[in-house]
Amino acid sequence: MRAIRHTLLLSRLLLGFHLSRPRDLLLVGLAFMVGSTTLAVLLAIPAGLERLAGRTGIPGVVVVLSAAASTEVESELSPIQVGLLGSLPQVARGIDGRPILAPQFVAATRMVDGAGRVSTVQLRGVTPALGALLAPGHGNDPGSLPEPGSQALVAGREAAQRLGIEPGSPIKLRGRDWQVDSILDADGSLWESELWVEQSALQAAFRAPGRISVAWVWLAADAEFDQFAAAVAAEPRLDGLRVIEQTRYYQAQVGFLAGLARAAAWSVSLLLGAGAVIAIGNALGVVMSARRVEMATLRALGFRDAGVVLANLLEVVVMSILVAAGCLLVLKWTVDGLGFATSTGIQAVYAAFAITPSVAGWVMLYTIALALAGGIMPVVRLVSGSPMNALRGD
Amino acid sequence: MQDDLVRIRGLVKSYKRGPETVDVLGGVDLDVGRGEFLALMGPSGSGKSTLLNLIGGLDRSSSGEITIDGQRIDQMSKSGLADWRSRHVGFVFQLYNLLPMLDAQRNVEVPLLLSSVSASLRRRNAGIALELVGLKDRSGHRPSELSGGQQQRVAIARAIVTDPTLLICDEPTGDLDRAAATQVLELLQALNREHCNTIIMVTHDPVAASYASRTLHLGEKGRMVEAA
Repeated sequence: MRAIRHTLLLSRLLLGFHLSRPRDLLLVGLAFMVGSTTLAVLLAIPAGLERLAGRTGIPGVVVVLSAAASTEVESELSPIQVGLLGSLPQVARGIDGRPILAPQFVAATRMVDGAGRVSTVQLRGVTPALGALLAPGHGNDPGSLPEPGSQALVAGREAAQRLGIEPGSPIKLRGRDWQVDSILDADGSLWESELWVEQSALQAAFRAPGRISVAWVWLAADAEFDQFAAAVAAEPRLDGLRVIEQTRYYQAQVGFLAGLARAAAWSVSLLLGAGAVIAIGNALGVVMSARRVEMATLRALGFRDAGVVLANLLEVVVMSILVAAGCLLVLKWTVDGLGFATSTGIQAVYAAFAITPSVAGWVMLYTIALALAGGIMPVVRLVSGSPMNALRGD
Repeated sequence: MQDDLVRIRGLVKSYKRGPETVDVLGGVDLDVGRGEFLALMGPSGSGKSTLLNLIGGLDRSSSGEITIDGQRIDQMSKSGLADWRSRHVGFVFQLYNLLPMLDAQRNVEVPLLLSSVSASLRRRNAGIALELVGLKDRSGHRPSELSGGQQQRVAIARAIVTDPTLLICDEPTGDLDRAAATQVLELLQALNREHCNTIIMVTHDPVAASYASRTLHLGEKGRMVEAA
C-alpha cells in the first residue's frame, strides 16, 4: 500500500519534471511513435481484408463450385449439375415456383486502371436469376442489371474508381466495346471490385459459350446448410462439387491473405520493436541519468525504492499510451479507408486499411510492452546503490 | 548521565571492489547525546561520510549495532529504513539537492507528503519552517532564483519541517562562500541551542566545526583519534 502511495505521490512530482524539462522524453516519444504507427498501419491491412470479407456474402446463400477449385474463376459446373442443384428440396423457390439459384460464369482479366497500372479485374456474368437472388428481401439490391444480350456492364464502386470509369463511359474488354450502365454499391463488399457483365456476352467474349463457373443457391427458410450439403453429397451426379456458405467462402478467400499479412505485420514489428527497445532504453538512460540526483534526494527523504521504480515506469507507460493513442487517432483520420490491392495472380482483392478497435488494442499492448521492456533497466538503475553516491555528485 | 540518542557499537562497513574487500569502518563505537551538536572531521578515506550515511539510515552496515532513540536501525529492512528516515531524520546535503521544478514552499513540503498531514497543515508547517530560516518572503521562488546560501537554508527548512529526531548534515557549507557559510552555521547552532535539535555534521572546515558542541576526529577506518 505504502509503495502505491509513494508511486502516486512521485508521479505527481514527475509531472513537474516534464513541465520544466519537456524535451527530455522527446526521443522516447519518437521511438513509441515509430513503433506504434508501423504496427498500426501493418495490422490495418489484414483488418481491412477481414472487414471486406465480413461485408461480403449473404446469409442463407450457398456457393457451389468444383471441389478442385479454390476460387470461382477456376471452377466449372456442367448444365446438368446446375439443373440437379435446382431440383433439391432445400433450395428456395420463387413465387413462380422456380428455384432461386443463379449460375454464373466468372472470369478474370487484366486491365489498365486510371493511373496507368495494369490490374486484375474479376468479371461476373449476370442473368435475371442473379437479380432474383439479390432482389430486396433476399439480399443486396443490385439496382438495374445489364439486359440480356446487351454490351452493357455494371461496375462495382471500387472498380469504377480504380479504372476511372463512370456511368456512360465506354470500356474496352477482351477486344470488344462495352458501356458502363451503372455503378454497383454493395456496402463496401468484395463485389464492388468486380465488373458485372451480361452473362452470354461475357461467355462470348471469353469464347466459352454456355460455360458456368459457380452457382449461388438460396436455401429455403426451413433448410439448414448441412442438409443441403448432405443432399449434394448424396447425389452421385453432383460428385466433385464443393458447397460452402457464401459468407464463409469470402472469409476463406481473404483469410489466407489476411493471415499472411498479419504474420508479416508482427514479424516486422517484432524486429522493429527490438531496435525500439534498445533506442528507448538508451534514451531513457539519458533521461534517468538527468534526474538521478532528484530521485536520490527523494529516496533519502524516505520515498521507497519500489515507489521510485513504479512511478518512473508508470510515467513511461503512460507516455507510451498517450503517444500510441495520438498516432491511432491520426491514422484513423488519414489512413483508415485508404484503398490497397493485393493479388494472387488469379484473384485480386481490393480492400481498405481499417483501424479497428482490435488493431488499436494490439497497438496499445505492443507500445506498453515496448515501454516496459525499454524502461525497466534504466529505471531500476535509478535505485541501485546508496542514494548518497548520487547526492555527492559521484 | 547524558541521555544518548545515538549509540553505536562495533560498527563495521566493508565494500567489495573487484576481488578485494575494503574496510571503510573497522569497528566504531560512538555515543551522541540528545540535543548534542557533533562535528565529525577527518581526512578523505577516514570513513566519516560512511559513518554519517549509516547513522542516517542511507546505507546498511556490514556488522555492528546502531541504536537511535531506542531503535535498532541496523536490523531494519531497506523499506523499513526508508520509512524510519521519513519520520526521524532530516538531511542537509552539500549540494542542497532541492527539486528544481518546485518553489521553496513546495520543496519544504516534500517530506510532509509522506505523512498523513493534510494539505493545509502541510502548507502551514512548511511556512513556519521557512520563517524559522528567515526565508518566508522567498517561498514562491524556485531554487534557480535563490543564492547558494538561501538554497541551503531552504534545505535546512526541509530537513526540520517534520520535527525529526536527528539532523544529518553532510558538508553543509562545502559549496558556500564564507558569508553564506556563516549564516548557515549560525542557523544550525540556533536550531541546536534554541530548539534542541540533535545535529551530526561532517565537515572539512575547522571553522564550521567550531560551531558544534563537540568535534570528533576520525582516522583510518573510522578510528577516533581525538575528541574535542
